[in-house]
Amino acid sequence: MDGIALMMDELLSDAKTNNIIAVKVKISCIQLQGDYVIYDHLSGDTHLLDEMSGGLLCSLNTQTMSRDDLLKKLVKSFADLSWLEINNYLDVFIDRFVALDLLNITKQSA
Amino acid sequence: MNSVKSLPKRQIKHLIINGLRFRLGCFNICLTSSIADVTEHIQRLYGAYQLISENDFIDFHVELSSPSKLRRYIRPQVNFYFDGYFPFKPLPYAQAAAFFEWGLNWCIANHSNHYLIIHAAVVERNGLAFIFPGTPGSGKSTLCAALVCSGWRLLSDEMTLLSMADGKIYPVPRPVSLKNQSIDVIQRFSPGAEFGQVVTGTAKGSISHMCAPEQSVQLSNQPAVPSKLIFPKYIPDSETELTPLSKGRAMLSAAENAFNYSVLGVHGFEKLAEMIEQCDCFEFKYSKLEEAIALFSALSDEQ
Repeated sequence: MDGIALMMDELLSDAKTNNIIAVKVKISCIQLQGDYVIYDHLSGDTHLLDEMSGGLLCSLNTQTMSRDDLLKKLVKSFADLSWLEINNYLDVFIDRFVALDLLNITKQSA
Repeated sequence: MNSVKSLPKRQIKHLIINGLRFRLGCFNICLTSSIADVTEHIQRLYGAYQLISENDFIDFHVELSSPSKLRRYIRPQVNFYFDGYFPFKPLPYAQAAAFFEWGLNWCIANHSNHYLIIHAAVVERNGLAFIFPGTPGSGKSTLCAALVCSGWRLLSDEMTLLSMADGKIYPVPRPVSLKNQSIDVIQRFSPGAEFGQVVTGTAKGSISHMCAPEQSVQLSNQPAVPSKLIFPKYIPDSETELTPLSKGRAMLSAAENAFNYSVLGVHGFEKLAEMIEQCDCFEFKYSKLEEAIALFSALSDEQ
């Protein structure tokens, strides 16, 4: 049973890796000292983000990326964090900004 | 043109009944009223303001008058009339002068979208504007009044007008609105300051307006450069404490305190960000006005 569960995890992980992540609405990003302030043109909401989330969202504002590309980018930028920490962070980041209607995920078939 | 105070009192009264036209910072106002308290308020607190001619464009036509014959005798009331309609429910007659100030705040805040308007007091020294946003009760008007009584130039005690064109702050120096204990505090702090009548029983408690210094009114065509954004908090018996605030957090708080941020959309966002980038941002706790003034004077001298 454990082996099957592991295989399922890997399959799901692969599926997530191929997802294409894009900014859903027009946003403006400004970096102020270490923080990012983001303006959502559609809702008019202003968001204050830390360096990691803000940097990631601003990158996605200029180009769409796969989840795998995002992960690689983060691993390169934050060498002091483990792969697992960054992977978990990325899940939280994506869920948060999908809930805020700022990000769009397009599922890619493997 | 002459200032209001250059006219005999009888003529001021006559002008107010027929429409007193005067310059208020970057706005032209026409005030019409036959209410004695309004006339007295103008005579006491608007003496330094320049009269303008019949040919000048008027930004805000406002009128304070009694609603109906019945309401002149039974629990008398006053109406605020603006450009042809009544934006508010009437208030008790005794609050007419304060209603003029509140109504004019509303006119400016809702009809001046060439500025990003932040709910903040703003004063200037050495050419630099210190901006004090704050929710009611934070002590921004008290602090502003004390600074102004200590020689700082008053730009506004209520709204900071950040120009969308050049990013400077434009003055709209009006009488400083003080509430409850703040009235006594400033009267003790500056016994020479001129005050209007104390209006009791308003939704905010007792209100009185302190006259804007004549020099601030005379310099009301000169904008100032944003320099410090300081979020004050009056805490009884607290030590004076100025703590740096991150620019990101300051921007979010300033946006929350802006009247027309959502109206201006991304342009308001960009202009506010520009202002934040050029300002040092702080949180400020205080209980002693003398210490606060010494601190801000030192800060403005450093520049």
